[in-house]
This record gives sequence, structure tokens and C-alpha cells, in this order.
Amino acid sequence: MAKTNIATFKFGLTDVDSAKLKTECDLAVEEITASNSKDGYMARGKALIGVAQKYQSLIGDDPLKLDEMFKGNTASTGTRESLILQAMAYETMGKGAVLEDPKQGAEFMQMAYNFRRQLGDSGDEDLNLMKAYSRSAKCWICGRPMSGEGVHFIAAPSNVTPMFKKGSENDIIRSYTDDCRSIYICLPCYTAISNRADAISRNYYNQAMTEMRAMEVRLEAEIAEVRSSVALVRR
Amino acid sequence: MDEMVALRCKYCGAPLDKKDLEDDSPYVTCPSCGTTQQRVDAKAYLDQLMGQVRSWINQAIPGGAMMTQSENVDSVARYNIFVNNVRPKVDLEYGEYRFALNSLISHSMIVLPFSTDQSLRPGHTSAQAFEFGAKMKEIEPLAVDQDSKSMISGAERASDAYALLINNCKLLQEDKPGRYLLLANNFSAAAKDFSTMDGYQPAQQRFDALSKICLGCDKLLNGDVPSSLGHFGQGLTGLQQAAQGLMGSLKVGIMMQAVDLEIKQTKVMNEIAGFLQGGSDPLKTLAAIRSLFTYQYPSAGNWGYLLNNRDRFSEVFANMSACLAARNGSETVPIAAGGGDYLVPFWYVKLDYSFQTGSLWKKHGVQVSEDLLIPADFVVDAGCLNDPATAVTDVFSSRVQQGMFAGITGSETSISNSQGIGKIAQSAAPNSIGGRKVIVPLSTKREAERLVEQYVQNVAAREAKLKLSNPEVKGLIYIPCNRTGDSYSVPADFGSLTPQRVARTNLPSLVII
Repeated sequence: MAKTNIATFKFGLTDVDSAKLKTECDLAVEEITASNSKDGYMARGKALIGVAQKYQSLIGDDPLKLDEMFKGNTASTGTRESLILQAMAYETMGKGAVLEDPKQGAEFMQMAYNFRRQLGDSGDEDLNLMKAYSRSAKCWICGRPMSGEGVHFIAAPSNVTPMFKKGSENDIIRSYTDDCRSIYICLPCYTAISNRADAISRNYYNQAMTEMRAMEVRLEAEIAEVRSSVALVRR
Repeated sequence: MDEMVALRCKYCGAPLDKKDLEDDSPYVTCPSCGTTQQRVDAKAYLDQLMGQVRSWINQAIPGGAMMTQSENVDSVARYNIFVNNVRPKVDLEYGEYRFALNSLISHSMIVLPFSTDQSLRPGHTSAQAFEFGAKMKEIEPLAVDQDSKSMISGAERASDAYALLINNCKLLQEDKPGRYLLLANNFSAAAKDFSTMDGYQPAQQRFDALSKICLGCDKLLNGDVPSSLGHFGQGLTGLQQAAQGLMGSLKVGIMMQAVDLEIKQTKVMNEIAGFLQGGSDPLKTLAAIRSLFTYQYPSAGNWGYLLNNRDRFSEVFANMSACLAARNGSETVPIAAGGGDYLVPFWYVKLDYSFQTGSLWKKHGVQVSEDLLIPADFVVDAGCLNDPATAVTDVFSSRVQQGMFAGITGSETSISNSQGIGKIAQSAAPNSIGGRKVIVPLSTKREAERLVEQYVQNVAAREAKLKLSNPEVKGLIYIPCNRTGDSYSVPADFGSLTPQRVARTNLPSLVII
């Protein structure tokens, strides 16, 4: 497009400004590059924010011609695209940051939620993640405090009897859910128990299989013996 | 006296002004919400507040560790109490307040004179937020290490700023005298709180700027136009600086849209002040502004969402601002040729469409370009919203005569006729308003686009020949017209296409400057 001297051209009934379309194409390329960046979540998020900034400053409230031409969408504008990219950027950073710092992850998800709201979306997914990342609990097994439900700890189904509930009713951070039907377990405890349970199960499985194979051999020998007896009787 | 200084407003929980407390009067006025109350009531509220704070602390820390003696408690013990008992509780509550604060600052927090904003709904009351700040103040001695200290200080500042902004939300919901001074006080205090918070510098700049703008509004409403211009100028610069720092700010980037809107509103206020300084009748102009901001728009059907969205005001204000600037002679607006004492705004629309003509092997498509005009006050007329054809120059209602068989032979060149509309639109050139009266446009470009889209859809439903269409709203043009009774008469070039809206216009109900 940069090589042509055409200032405007017609696409169907739409007049398209070549320079503006070129800007849009350049930004679309930058957007794809930023989205596919392998430089880590923070770098990817910041790159997306950089592209969002360009959409805002270079296109602003003007409609995006690419969307109009190829998707028939006339409601898309530079500002709207900028908000979408910022929401995506904070979602990327939130989902990455939660691994090291759940509170920071929750803050990023909150920003993403606010951007989604500005776009007119419900933003419920971001809100739920924000709530989960910021939720704090104490591990029922090791007693360590932790944040980030679903990432650093999980709620495992269990029966918390009134006696246990009574003993920790005044705790600020609890180790069981409000309905007393699950206990919180941190990921290290959970994976340690889970791995050990897997190893034990595997051991029992192997033991059972060995015994079954021995039984199989024994049964096959008995069947062969019965068959030979039957053959002898027939003669 | 120390106790008196610490008194709190019983309505919003804000600390009362030291100067008022030193006075002998039994009444004190809150500098944050503006409510006047008896001194004894403020004292009673303080006792109640401190009781709640103490109860919260007793729940948080193990029995035996008294806050009054906390400085004497071993620092290691204090550290352990803070980390194991206090911090988790603070973390939980602070998280909630910070979330609510971030949500609140993502909204525009200023309104133009005479208007209100009912959309701001904070998640807490100011009393709750001030109470949380008081709790943080009380547990400060327990924070021993730097990290804990900065966490407590951040929570105290954030909750204080949040409480002040909640009070401003209430002030924005009610058009009462003196509210701009209270708004300015609260914004200024909130900016001070943000100045000590890491990463919140753009927020400090924004609220400092809003404080100046509110002072400007107060001066403007009290007739001190030169001072208001100075405040608006400073506020505008501050908001622009804040906007530069916002993009990419991981803490407060969410404020970007709100700051953009506030910049637009400040520009309008600046124009209004400039216009008033130009020697025009300030009362008349302020009355026009008041009617613009308090207009009751129809909210029927699908239009309700668009017309009740306060974002639209930024464009309406910008158009009004352009009219004021053209009146001042500092700018121009596109004015069509012709005589008339009233300049009436119309949206100029370029409508490209294609239709199918001919039959059998003669069948083919023809592309046509037409000009349309829409009176820019159509949004106040429910009839126009229900039947868009009454708000536009209905070009499909008249056709160029092309012979009986043109439709069969495919020699038709058009299924519409915009008569002299193109001539009017093309005569529009940038000009100043001069001594003429100008009607302020009440609709936005998006609303004009929507209207013309609906108009074309209705035409396509009854006219099978119409295929593709691409209406493009080019912008506003001002057409000189003459007043006839409470309405006006359009130039003869409109021909038979004069929109029905013109006859229904009631000039006294419109905003005219």
C-alpha cells in the first residue's frame, strides 16, 4: 500500500483513505506480533498496551475500515480496539503474575475487568478470576497462609464437623469453606498427597496385576488339564 | 482541645475543620460534605466511631496486647502480632477498598454547571471508608518493618482518598449551591493522599486539576469570569499532563477514558467562560446552558440507551462550544449561503446506494449518490425517533421522471431525488455567526447515523429495488432560516423535501444563543 499513490479508493460503496488503511494494517501487524510474543507475560502485556496506545492516538474515534470491509462491522473504532487490547493486556499480565504474586495478579484482573466494563461487556470472567486470585486461606494440612484459589490452593470436598468449626470460628483466615463442605489445601500439600496416593495406587495395581497373571497361568493350566482329561475319556 | 480537633462529621465521618472547632459556636460545618451539625453530635459520633475501631482491633489482636501500651511492647512481639493477626485482616479489607477505589476512579468525576450525575454508585459509604482509615491509624504502632509501615500508610491514604471521592459522588448527584467549593476541597485532599502512594502520580495530577476546575466553576457561577478562566486553564493543563502519564500506568491506567471526558468538559467550560467574558449577557447564556444540561429527552424504545448515556454530552457540549466560539469570532462553523436571522443546525449526510433495474437480460445494478439533511434537534421529538422519515429530507419520496418503461429496459438512473439539497450543502463554508441567532445542536453524530440507518432500512423494506446502501454523516452545517411564529421556514431549495420535524419545531423549547 505504501508504494501506491492512490489517496482514496472505493470498496463497494465505501470510500477508503489509503493512508489510514495503511496505518490500520501496520497496527494490525503490531497487534499480532505483540499477541504472539514469547518474551514473557509482562513483556507481552506491555507490548499490547503499547499497541493500544497507538490505536488510541492514531485512529481514535474513527471507525476501523478493515473491520468494516472484511467483517461488515461498522461499530468498531480505534478507541474501542484500544480498550479491547488493554483488557487483553491486563488479562495476560494477571494470569502470568498470579504464579508469583497472587495479589498483583488480582490487581491486574481488576484492571482488565474495568476495561471490559467500559467496553460494555459483563467482565464476569475477569471478576471471578480476580476474586479467586485475591482469596486467602490457610492450608488445613500444613497451616501455611496462602492466596490464589485454583492456582496455589484448592478446596477439597470434606466434612468439617462442628467441633473443628467451633475451634477456628474466630480465625481471620480459615482453612475450610463457609459451608463446611470443603477444606483448603495448598498446592504443595495437595500434590505431595496426590503423588503419594498415585504411587500407592500404582503399587497396589501392579501387585494386583501380578497376582491376576499368576492366577491366569494357574487357571490356564487347570483348563488344559481338564481338556486333556476330557480327550482321554472320549477315546 | 486535641479531642476537639479529632471530632468527626456524624454524616460522612470526615474529620472536621480545626478552625471551625476553635470557634465558640455550638454548630460546626463539615468541610467535606457541607452538612452543619451540633458539636455534641459530632462528639457522640466520634465516641461511637472509636468504639467500633477498638472492637475491630480487639478482634484482630490476641488478648493482652493493649494498643495504648503498644510502643512499650517488644518489637519482635509487635512484628509477630502484626504479621500473624493484623495483616491478614487488613489485607482482606484493604483489598475490597482498593478494588472499589479503582472502580470509582475509572468514572468521570466532574459535571458541568447545573447538571448532575446519578450514575456514580460507590461500593461503600464515606463513613465506612473513613472508619477503615481510622482503624489503620490506630494500628500504625504495630507496624515495625518498612514493608508493614508502607502497607498501613498506603491503606490509610487510599481509604481516605476513597472516602473523599465518595462524598464527591454525592455532591455530583445534587445541584446545590456551593457544591463546587466542597468538590474542590475533597479533590485537593484526595490528590494529597494520592501523592504519597506509589504509582498513583497521574491520579494526583488528575484530582489536583479537577480541584482547580471546580474552583473555576465556583468562580464562574459567582460571576468572577476572569478568575474562572485562569482556573480552567490550569485544570486543563493538569488533566492533559495526567492523560500523558496514564497510558501504560499499571496502577491507574483505567482512568484514561474518564480523563478524556473530563478534558472535553473542561474545554466546554473554558469556552463558556470565554463567551461570558466577551460581554454577552451572562445570565442569558447560563440559562441556555442550564436548559441544555437539563433537557428531558424521550427515552422510548431503542433510543433510551443512546439518549440516557451521559457520554453523549461531551459531543453536544463540543458542538455548543463551537457555536460559542463562532459567536465570539474566535472560530468558524460551516454556514450555508442564504439569508435568515436564525442559523439552524442540520446533519449533512452523503447517501451512496445501489439499486437494481431492468428485467431479463437488461437486469443490472446502478449506483447513486444522494444528499440528505437531518434537523439536529430531532432527538427531542419522539415522532422523529419512531418514524425516521419525518426527520430527514425523504429523498426516496420523490423520483426523477424517467418514462414508463425505464424500469423494464434498465435505463433508470435513480429511484430517489434530493432536489436542491446538494446545492444547499455544497454552499456551506466556514464563517462566523455574526449578529444572527444560532440554535444549539442537541444530537450527536452517532445518533444521526442511527437515524439515517433506520430510515434506509425502512425504505429497503418497502422498496425491493434498493440493494446496498452506505449512509455517511459528514457533519453539521448551519442553514440560515427565518422565524415564522414558534417555528422557522427553510430555504426554497428544500422543495418538497422539507422534513416534517421542521413544522413541529417549537423554538422557545430549544437552546438558542
